[in-house]
Amino acid sequence: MLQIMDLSKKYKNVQAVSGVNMYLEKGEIVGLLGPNGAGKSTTISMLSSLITPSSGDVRLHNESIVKQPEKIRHILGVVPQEIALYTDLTAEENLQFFGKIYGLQGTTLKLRINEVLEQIGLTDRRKDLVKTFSGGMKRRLNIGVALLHTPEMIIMDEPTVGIDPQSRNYILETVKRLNREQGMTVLYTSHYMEEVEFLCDRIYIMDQGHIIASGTKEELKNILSSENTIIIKVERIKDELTRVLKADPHIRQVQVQDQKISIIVPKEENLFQAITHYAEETKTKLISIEVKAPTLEDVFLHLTGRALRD
Amino acid sequence: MIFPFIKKDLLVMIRNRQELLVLLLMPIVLIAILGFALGGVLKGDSPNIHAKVAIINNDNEQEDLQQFIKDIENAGLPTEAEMSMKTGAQSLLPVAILTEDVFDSEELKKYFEVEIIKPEQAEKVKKDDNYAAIIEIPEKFTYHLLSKVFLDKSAEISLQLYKNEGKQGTSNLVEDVIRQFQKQLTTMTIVGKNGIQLDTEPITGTIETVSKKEPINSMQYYTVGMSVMFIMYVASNISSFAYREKQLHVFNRIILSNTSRWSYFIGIFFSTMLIAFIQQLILYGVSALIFHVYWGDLAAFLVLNLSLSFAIGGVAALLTAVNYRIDSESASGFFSSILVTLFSLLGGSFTPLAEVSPIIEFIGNLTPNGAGMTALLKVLQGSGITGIFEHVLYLIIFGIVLLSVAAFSFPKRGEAI
Repeated sequence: MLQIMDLSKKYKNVQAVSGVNMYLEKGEIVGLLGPNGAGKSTTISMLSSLITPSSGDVRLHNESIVKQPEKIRHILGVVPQEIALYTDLTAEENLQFFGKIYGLQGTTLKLRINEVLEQIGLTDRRKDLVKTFSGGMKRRLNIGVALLHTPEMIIMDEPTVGIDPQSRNYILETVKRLNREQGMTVLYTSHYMEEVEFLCDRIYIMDQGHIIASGTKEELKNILSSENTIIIKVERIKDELTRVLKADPHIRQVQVQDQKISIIVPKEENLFQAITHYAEETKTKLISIEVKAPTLEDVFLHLTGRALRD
Repeated sequence: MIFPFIKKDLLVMIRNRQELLVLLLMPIVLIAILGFALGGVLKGDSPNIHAKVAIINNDNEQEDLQQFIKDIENAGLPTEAEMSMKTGAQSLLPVAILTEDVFDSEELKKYFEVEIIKPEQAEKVKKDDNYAAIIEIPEKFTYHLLSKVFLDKSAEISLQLYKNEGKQGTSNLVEDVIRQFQKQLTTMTIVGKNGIQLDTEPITGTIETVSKKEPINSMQYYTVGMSVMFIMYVASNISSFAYREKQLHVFNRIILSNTSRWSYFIGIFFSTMLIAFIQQLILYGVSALIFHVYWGDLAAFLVLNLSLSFAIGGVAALLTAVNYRIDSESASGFFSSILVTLFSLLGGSFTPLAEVSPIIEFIGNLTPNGAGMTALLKVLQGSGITGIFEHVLYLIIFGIVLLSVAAFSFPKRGEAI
């Protein structure tokens, strides 16, 4: 359905996106995972035709949308990372405005507004000004506006940033439902790996403007099939302990987060004794040592040496 | 496609109380303050004057006229000159001119209540404190005046003016009127001496007789001045709001709906024009109700306000384009904080600066508010559409030029994001 070929964007001296290749099949949910500043939003802006790429092409049904941006616009819904709404208008007035500029009119527009309000659970608040909404409600309306013209494909750029867990679950379930019931194709970007794991059939991992890995969840996790992630919980993190762990030639990655140290080690290595020894040597009180199955977070750590939320 | 943009902008504007206060309440307050505080400064402000004036008439005009006619018949003048003098004398009866053409004129009779007093009551009237001034016309005044004017006979021609010291302001005004009257008579004496046919136009007591325009009072002046000043804030507000649409990424959403940049742009232009026009109607409506500022030619008034709103639409479009190009709201900020004040000063919103010099008047009329103000004042003074046509044309051209420059400088695809 959509092919992204060798897409790059350069701003003066900054290479925001470099040689990105991706594809989306009809009816699938594809995740674009990466930390803040990885180039996800720039990529989305290019493939939704908002900005022109420096090089490369985006093809919809084999036709270039770089040359003919209007081709993709009427079948695409975009949920921006920001709350792109008029806060001085009511939910219904926002939907009316965007519906009209999408060419919906009269009864069709009224019906779509009712359906969308139902889908995003804001029917009761339709007459309220958006500025009186909670963060989660604004996010839901932000999605609702993108759904109004019944797009075939929707691009969601970090749609759950800064909202409560309940609203987040509601949004994730809404995305699943749209895909399941309407066959909507979804490109979902996030730096929350658990969201991407929950939603997506296939995942692209992006960092510093490049796609560094892609595949299904299982395929990506298999990158770590020869490695284990060990979580060391300590009473207080000491720099000396981190330093000796990093100096150990058997340990491939060391990541410190809160009171935990995550290390990636080859599966065949048994480092329990060594870890205990390092703790004693640096006078660090150990709370627990745990070996866990690899996650996408671990995959990202493995690939980049950094955590997703760094 | 433009209608949703206009509706949206209207709704947003209506719900923004702070901006409504700036656009509607502040000009009304300023009109009230300036109009009342500076009342009387402008020519059209009628001072609250009422003065009783007594004229003690010792003269007998008809007798004097007959005596003068006899004199010229006996002077052995050529028949043509004799006829001319007779006609001239009949139209130069000074007491009638003073009492009827001067004090009973449309402009002075509002202020002066004139009583003709018989000579026998003179002493009684002179002791009456109710009169601001008493004018005493001596015996044979008409005869001596006509003889001096037409026959160049030397004679003492003078009026006696008694001023009431307790009514200094109004008695001074009476003195001014009499001095003007004397000046006029003196001019006639000189003209008559040179044998030129006398102008038979009546002497009137008006201060301004050259123009037939209605005078403007301070309330009218500041109603127009503040309205054309605050209309400019509509342009800065709408352009700021348009830039915030970019910041909030709403503009991206609009573009993604396949709405052309032109539609968006024209939407801003028409929204501004409509809001500006409504603002002006509200301001002038309130001024009519509260300050009694009324408009004679409504068609001219409406055409002018539409063309002024059109020009302001162009300003908003240009400010929006510049804001988008420099990726900052500072063009709107600069306009509202510096240029509005400067334009208002040059355009005459604070004081009729155009009277200082023709160059300032010219520069002032180049600003949309200045052109609008000049034309609106003309409408208040009785001009119709033809009288303000050049200003209407200028405002429309101004709007078109700014809109074209704005369209040219508005960032193209990919540049505005």
